[in-house]
Amino acid sequence: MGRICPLLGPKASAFCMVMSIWGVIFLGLLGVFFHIQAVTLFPDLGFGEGEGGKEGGHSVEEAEGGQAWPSNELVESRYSDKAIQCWIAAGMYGVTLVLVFWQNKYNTQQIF
Amino acid sequence: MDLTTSVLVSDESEASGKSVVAPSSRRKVRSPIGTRTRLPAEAAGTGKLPTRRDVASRARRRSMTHRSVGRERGVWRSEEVCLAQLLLQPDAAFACVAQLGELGIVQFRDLNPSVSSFQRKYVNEVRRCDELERKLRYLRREMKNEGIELAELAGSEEAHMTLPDDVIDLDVFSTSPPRLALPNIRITEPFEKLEKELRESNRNEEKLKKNHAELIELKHILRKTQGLFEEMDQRRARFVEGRNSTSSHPDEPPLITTVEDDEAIHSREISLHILKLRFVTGVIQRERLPAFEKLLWRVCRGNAFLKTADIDDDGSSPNSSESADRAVFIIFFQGEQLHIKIRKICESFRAHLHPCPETPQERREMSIEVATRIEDLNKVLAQTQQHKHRVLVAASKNLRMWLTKVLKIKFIYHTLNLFNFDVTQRCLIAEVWCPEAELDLVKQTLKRATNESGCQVPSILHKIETNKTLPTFHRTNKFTRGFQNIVDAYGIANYGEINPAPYIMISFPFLFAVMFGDIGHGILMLAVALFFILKEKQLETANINNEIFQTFFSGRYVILLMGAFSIYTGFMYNEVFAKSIAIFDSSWVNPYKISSLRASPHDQIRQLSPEHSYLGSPYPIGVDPVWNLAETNKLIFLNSMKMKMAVLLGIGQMTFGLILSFYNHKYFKSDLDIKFMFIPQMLFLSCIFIYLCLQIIIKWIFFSWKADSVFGFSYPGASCLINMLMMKSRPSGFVNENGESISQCHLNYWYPGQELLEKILVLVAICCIPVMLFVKPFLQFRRHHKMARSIHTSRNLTVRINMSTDEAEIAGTGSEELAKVHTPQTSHSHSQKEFDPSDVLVNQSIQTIEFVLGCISHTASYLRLWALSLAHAQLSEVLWKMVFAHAFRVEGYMGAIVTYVLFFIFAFLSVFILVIMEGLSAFLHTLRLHWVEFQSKFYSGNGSVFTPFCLNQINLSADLSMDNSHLDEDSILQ
Repeated sequence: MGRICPLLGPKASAFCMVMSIWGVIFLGLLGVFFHIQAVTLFPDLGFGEGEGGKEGGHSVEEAEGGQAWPSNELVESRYSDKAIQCWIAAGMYGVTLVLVFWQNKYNTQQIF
Repeated sequence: MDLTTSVLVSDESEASGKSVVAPSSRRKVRSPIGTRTRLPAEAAGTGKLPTRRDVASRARRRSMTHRSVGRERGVWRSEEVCLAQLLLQPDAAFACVAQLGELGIVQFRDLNPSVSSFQRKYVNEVRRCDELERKLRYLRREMKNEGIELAELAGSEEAHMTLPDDVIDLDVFSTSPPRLALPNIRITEPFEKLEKELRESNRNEEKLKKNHAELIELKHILRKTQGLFEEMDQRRARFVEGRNSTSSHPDEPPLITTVEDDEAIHSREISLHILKLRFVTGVIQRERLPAFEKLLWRVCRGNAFLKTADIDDDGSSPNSSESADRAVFIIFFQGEQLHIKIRKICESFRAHLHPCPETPQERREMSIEVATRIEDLNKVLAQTQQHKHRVLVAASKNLRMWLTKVLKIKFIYHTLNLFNFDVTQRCLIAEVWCPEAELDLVKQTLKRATNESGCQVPSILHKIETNKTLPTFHRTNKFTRGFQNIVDAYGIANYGEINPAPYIMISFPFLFAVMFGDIGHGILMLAVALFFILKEKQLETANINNEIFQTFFSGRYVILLMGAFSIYTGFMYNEVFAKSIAIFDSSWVNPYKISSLRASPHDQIRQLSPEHSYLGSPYPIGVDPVWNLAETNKLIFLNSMKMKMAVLLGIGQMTFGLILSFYNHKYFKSDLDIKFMFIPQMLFLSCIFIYLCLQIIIKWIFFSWKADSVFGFSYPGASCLINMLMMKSRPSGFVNENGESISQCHLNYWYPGQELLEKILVLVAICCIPVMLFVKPFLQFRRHHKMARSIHTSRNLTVRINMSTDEAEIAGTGSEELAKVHTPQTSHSHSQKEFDPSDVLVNQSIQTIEFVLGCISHTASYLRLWALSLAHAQLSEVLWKMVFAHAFRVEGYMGAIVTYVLFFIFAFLSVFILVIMEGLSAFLHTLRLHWVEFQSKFYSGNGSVFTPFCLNQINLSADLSMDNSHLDEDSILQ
């Protein structure tokens, strides 16, 4: 059985492998931190974007009916949204990893 | 005299031989298991010497234990090296040098540097080795052409053991230098024969190929000209026919017949029948054809008829590229004169002429013959090539070994060229630098080599006193080598000088990490280094010739430590990819009520004042994570902290360097330097700079945000952050009688007696400068005068003259005061040089100015620690905010995809900009801090390297580059 879709050479696949392993770990952890509602990630939730010109500001205003301060529930739901978003991305990197492994199987030159 | 010394020395070597045995036996007692396994092997060789391999390996093992035990000096300072004289019997010289080369711990001195390399003793041998090497390279080239890979050496052990076998294989060749039976090379015979054979076969092949090409050309000529000839024949036949027809049918005369016409016909007939046309055939390159044609036309004035046909390549010719653009030509002409001319033209155009028979019959025969001959030749050629291939494949298995051997032998002869002959020409004298710890091992090796070469007279090694500057030898292992290289790149340490490498092993990664503090980036770096280290063996054997990769790979342990330290400092700065982690609870709380916050506009910035929101005890370790969220004054806080840390670290390191200089002076026993260099320098540094550091620390400890009474002054709290000034009169205390803080209270004196103390400190520091500047040169000058007088007055002097090196030395016999005078020579060898007061003064003033100004500029220079760490933190924050944070502004599944893509960009930029680029810049700044700011305090770095004569290095170079081994040789032989 030959290579079905010979896209990646040995170097490219090694690079992608490293990136996707890192992606799985990093995004997985980031998701965990969003899940436990780490304060340091609060600026990334998109609240308090200043004059409300940004996307996050809009959504806040829509949800709160023009009120500047988001409610606790909104913050919590935003946290959990972002956590799931990160985990999905991590899963996508997991898929990438599998794909890269599959690609790498057909490389004659072994990198690892 | 010679005899007595040698006897004495041989006794000594016997004795030391015994003492050498002792540690090994001790070792055996200590490790019974090792003994049991080794005993049968030794018992098997009863009555005989233990095998060479055995001894060598044991010696190596012992030297390892030597290295690990008692060489405490080897880490902190360069190892003790001594000059030793070697007296070698000519018969044993080669073997001895070979063994020493395998050992790789002695450095041979050139005893006849004035002799040009063509006049040395073993030039012929070296030339012969060159010749052999050239042959081997020829073989290699042939192999490359055939696409044969070289077989790897069968392990390092194999390569290691090759040489002694050669020595046994060596022939005795008596025509070499004066009455010396010198070994010459026999092992080379197999490949010499091989080379000859190969050359012959190549020559044959070339000849065959040439033949082949010619035949092919001939074939083409025959084929092409056939057409031309046939055309001609037809024409002729038609013409003759036509003539016949006119004659046979007189009743049908041509429409117009004139006398001229008749004559013309007649003359043509004559030309065809009587004046026979001649022709030349050949092959010419196609692009030359137009010029050829033109010239032919001009020279022969149109009397030659050229006909050409391109050779359309049918793939039958072996070198098709050549014949592809060629054309067959045929020239008809008349007369001898023209023939000569045409031949000349052909020659000048490099056309190949081939004879071509006249009649079709002959031509046919010839073409058949040519075809058969081509077939035969093809067969022969194929066979030749096959044979050659077989020979080369067989040779390729040994080629690397042969090359290594030849290089080793050549290297040994080069070393022998450094030797001297004694007066009686009966033995070779060599001088070697050798680490004192290895003397016994060297002696033992010499003894063994002498025994093995069957020489009756023992080789002798004895230490000689010298006043030459000794080479610096730092033993390194793969961990310390990277750091030692960093130091050596600046300058090799003087002999006996403190080696900064052990200190740099800690301070280098640490200062790097101060500039590179981020847990995430540190982990990346650590991972790369771990990958290099764990895959060390594989990566080494993979032999990647990428320079950048090699740089990183050879510094893998440095990178490892840098990564680990970056994780630590990142933890202290509390940064992971520009985010902070709260392992403990922050010691700041939100004092505002949520309802009051909701009432105010949400973009209003609020302060957390320490009175209300600080819990009273600081964050347990590192920077409080709350600062990461403080948007407006995060930088203000971090800047002040990092700047002060940078100053503390910098002055700490400079002070440490200065203290090291004290140990240097102490080691070299120069009181003068301690009293009038080190002490004033230290005073100067502590009066200004260490005082500054103390102020910083005291301020950190005693002044907090609370109003308090500190050092007798009442301190109004955070509203008055004290600064530090010197040499400016100002009021003391912070508050006036009413308890209000004075304007500019932060500039005021903050402890009683500060004004006086600071005045004293400044005065002391200023006083130190003239002491540094003048005292040492003055004392040196006085000492020099005294010594000169004492040499004049004392009578009992002897002069020791070294004949070989043309050096004379004055030595006092038994006069104590002279010996006393001579002692400081070890540190200042000014007694031998001309003492020039102005020179010394200028030198000293340069040093002083450098130190005084250096203290200021170097302290400022350490601020780069702050600047770079700030830049790094800012850059990583920007990367997060500008790139990755955008991923969280998008909702839903689209958000996941955006996260996926943006993470890739974020990770890529993190690696290439933050880790590699920033890492490199931080590395360079650290390098500078160590070379300039740290090492300038104590390190002179004017030594010479100890480069042991080591045959194993050749191995490596032979492995690395077979093709440009020219360069390697030169570098080895230098």
